[in-house]
Amino acid sequence: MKDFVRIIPKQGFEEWPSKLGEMGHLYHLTEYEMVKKGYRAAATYHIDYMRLIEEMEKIKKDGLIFTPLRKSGYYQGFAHFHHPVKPGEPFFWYGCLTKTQKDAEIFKEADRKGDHKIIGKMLGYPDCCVEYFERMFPINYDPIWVDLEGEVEGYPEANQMLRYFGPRITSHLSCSPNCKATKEIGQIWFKIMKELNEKLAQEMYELLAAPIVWNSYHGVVQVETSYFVGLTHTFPYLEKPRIIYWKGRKNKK
Amino acid sequence: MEEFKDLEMSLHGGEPLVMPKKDVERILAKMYELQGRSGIQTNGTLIDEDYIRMFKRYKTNVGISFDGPGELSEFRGPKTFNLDKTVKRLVKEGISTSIIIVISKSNAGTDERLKKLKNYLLELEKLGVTGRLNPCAGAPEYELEEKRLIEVYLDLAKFCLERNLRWSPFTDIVHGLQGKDRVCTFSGCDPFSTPSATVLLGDGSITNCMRTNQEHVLLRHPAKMDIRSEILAETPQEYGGCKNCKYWTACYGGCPSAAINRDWRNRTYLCPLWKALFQFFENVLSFVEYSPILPRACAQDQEGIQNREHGDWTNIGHGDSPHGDWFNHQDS
Repeated sequence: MKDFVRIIPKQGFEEWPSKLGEMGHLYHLTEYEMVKKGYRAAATYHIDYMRLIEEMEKIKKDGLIFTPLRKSGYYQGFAHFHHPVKPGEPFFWYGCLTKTQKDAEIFKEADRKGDHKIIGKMLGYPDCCVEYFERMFPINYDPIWVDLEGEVEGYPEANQMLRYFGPRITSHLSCSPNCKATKEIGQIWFKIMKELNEKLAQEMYELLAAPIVWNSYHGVVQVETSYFVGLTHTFPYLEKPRIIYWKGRKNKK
Repeated sequence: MEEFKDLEMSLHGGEPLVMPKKDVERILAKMYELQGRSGIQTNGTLIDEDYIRMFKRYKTNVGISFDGPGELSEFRGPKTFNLDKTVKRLVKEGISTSIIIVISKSNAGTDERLKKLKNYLLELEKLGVTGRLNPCAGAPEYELEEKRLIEVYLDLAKFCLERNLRWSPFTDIVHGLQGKDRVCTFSGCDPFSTPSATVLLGDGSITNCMRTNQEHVLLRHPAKMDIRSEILAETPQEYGGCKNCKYWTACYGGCPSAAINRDWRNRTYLCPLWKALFQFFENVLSFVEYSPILPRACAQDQEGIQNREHGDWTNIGHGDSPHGDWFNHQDS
């Protein structure tokens, strides 16, 4: 299955494909700000090879350090993996964004060793979610609560079912829809998001809190909201669809 | 409508003739203005002298949904029992007419009814009328069981072949085997863009074929993608796909609106019927020494796919970027 993302708005909601792009942009700005403001030690970061100079100048001006780790080829839509770089074709630099050189070195070494615990800690992920990711990613590279299906309630901060299309509050895959650590971290992310664009951040939060049907089968996940249907490539469940009917939940303690 | 003036236009419903006549006329007149002709698909029960005048005036191609005279049309109800007279009248008036016949228990549930249906096909042949023979779907009490459905269609295929009656799906199945253009059912549909059918709704919204779009109205995706074909080509047949099917390039998994479990990521549940018909006409083409064009059955990247089937992804990228899970990396 080739990489792809498709967003099909419902009648009356034509503006949603571009709105989702704005939400994705807001999330990426927040990722950057979370390091800049010292809420976490590092972020993963991607720089197009044609924009290296401008990006490096901005990063330097913000008192941050970008450490390139590898090149990656381009892809259509959402990526679960880094793609090999083909000679002569565009690529981007994948690396880590940190505040200190020491953190950059720790991250680089952890990346070299594939030490997810250290990487997860530096990225500000809860320990429980790092452990979940380490356990599940090798057997399912799109590990949305792999033991769950049917009706599911949880925190909007933990909802990663729309991340392929842009909206997400946090950068990690939560271990459970009710992960309290994710909710706490998510509240910080949401605060930063609101500082950047309060209206859009609130709208994204409402979207992640609202009912969603996430339906994964034969290598394509189809996610339906009140406003659009989104499709993208994913782990190929073969025998039957795995469907999560997200009921959402807002601000429950 | 002006935006789509290069496409063949037809007024569809529900039943379009329940609209006020002046509205029907307005739409047909606009089609005529844009294309020099017009089209409508109707159950035919409301066609009267006014509409006949209208159809002649706007050179309307009239598609009638009609399953045969009298009891043959029980599936559609008594109001349609005498539509054979309407069909005759339209032809007599020189109006281009075609028919969609739904094959159900009403017209093919018994050998006696099937015989009557075949006789009606001969009558239509005399009138120069053909069309489509579609399997009944979505009405379980009228749908034929799979074994009977295949038996009926093979019988009709033989009948049409012997008498040179050119009805779809038979003509399309032959075209599929020959690699020629055929009905969208066998052309590899993208259910989110349906290039073979552009639907203009009452509020001016553009959507895709309503057969694939019944539960909620999605707007049309502007670009056709081959996602469904990719899925079906890679998925083994025992799991709803078409992998290694001999007739893949003639069929492409059929219409997504008739997909197994109503999930477009599966092939059509009518697969056994289509396979039987492809086999029948493949034999016919072979007999007349016209070899069907059947490229190798779909079997792409067998080794890689087998790994995925067993959930083995450990050697295709993990460790490369466990946290590099992103959508739009250029934004920051």
